[in-house]
Amino acid sequence: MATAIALHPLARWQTRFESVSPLAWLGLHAAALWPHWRWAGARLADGSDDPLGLAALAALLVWVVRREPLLRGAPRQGWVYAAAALTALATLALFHLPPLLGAVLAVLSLATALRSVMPSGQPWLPVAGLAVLALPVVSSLQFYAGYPLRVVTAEISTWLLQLAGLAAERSGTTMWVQGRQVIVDAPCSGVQMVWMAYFCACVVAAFSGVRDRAMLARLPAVGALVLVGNVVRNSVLVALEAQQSQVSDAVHQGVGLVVLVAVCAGVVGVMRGGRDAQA
Amino acid sequence: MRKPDPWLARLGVVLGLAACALAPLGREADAGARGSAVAPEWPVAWEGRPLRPLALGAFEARFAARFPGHIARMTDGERTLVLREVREPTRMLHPAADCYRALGYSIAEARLERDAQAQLWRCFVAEREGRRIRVCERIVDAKGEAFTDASSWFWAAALGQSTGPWRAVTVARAL
Repeated sequence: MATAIALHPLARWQTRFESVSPLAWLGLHAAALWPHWRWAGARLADGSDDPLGLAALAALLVWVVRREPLLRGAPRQGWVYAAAALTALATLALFHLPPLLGAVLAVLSLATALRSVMPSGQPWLPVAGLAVLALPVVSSLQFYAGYPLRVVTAEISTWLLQLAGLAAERSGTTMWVQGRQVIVDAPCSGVQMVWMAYFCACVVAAFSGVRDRAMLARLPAVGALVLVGNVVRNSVLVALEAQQSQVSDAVHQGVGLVVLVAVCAGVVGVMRGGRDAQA
Repeated sequence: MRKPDPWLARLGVVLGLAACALAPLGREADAGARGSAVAPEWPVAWEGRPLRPLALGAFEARFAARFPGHIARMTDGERTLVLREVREPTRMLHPAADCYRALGYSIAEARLERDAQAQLWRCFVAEREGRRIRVCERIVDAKGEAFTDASSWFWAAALGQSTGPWRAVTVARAL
């Protein structure tokens, strides 16, 4: 005999709330943060920043889609509250902070919401990292970190060239090598190499399941690889500049590409090293 | 203390998210407070040629509305000069290449160059739909010290090694 069970309207709402899929919850969070996505989209569309973030966004989406069957139907309350608090902060940031800082809070809020429905033991740090890298950060990184990175690079390059027996001095981001003035210019800051290295680190960690703690322990090595790579690239180019009147763009780009590939390969090796690190 | 029912907690979160989604709609543009300082005295000549002021383009006018300083656009009949002046270090004094990219130009041949007075400039060629423009820029502080990139200027200004007001000069010439 069939039995019809009539639900009270409140109970029907309760049932509906409890049956909302994890991806729908993430969609709600994302929708609440719409001004940040509009800003990031505008930055991407107007071309004032490198579109590298699209690669991070694509990697993030692939990761979420592949993990979708594993996501929890019932989010963890603590992480839900944390995500809600970050969403509120990101909204307040619209009124008081630069758009990029607000957008960082927004992606961290969304990554925290994702954490609330992720199964236990899954790496979260690389996912949050990819979310931050998906933002248009390269231009701002170049503005704020470009000069300090060039000073550090020029200083270490000067030591290296002195060790190689060349007469080298540094003043600011200008180097004097064998009596020739060589300026360590904005493209030599290594900001794009920094982005690529951390992107590689996050992708490898996310897709091979490197534990958050293990990833944290390896991030300094990633930074060191970038610094070494940038110093090597800069030293080679400065040494060439000091001996030739003009080094062609092709040589600049060729050296840069070779070093970038080597750094990324090193980062992949560092992140994949050690089976015990995997979740 | 008893934990709230999960569905009630979810309802609270949904209401909070809705409030966050709606709050920015009430945001009012933060205009007016900026640019209230007296406008600077702009040059009347450039390398011996008289300058005449030009109106800001639509893109420049939108940017100027939220720029924490002053912007002027001028021409000497052959070249277009865009002058931006600020009294404090700001991210808004970004490289001219960012502006040209935002306008749909591709950037090539970026390099440092010295002019006839041995002054260092950052130069590049911006190209869009077959139109090529040679653009050079530098930032000069109150003592005449110059910077060829925004990052080194920002840190010098922020650390007190350079004194303002600072003027970014961008010179564009059609090729």
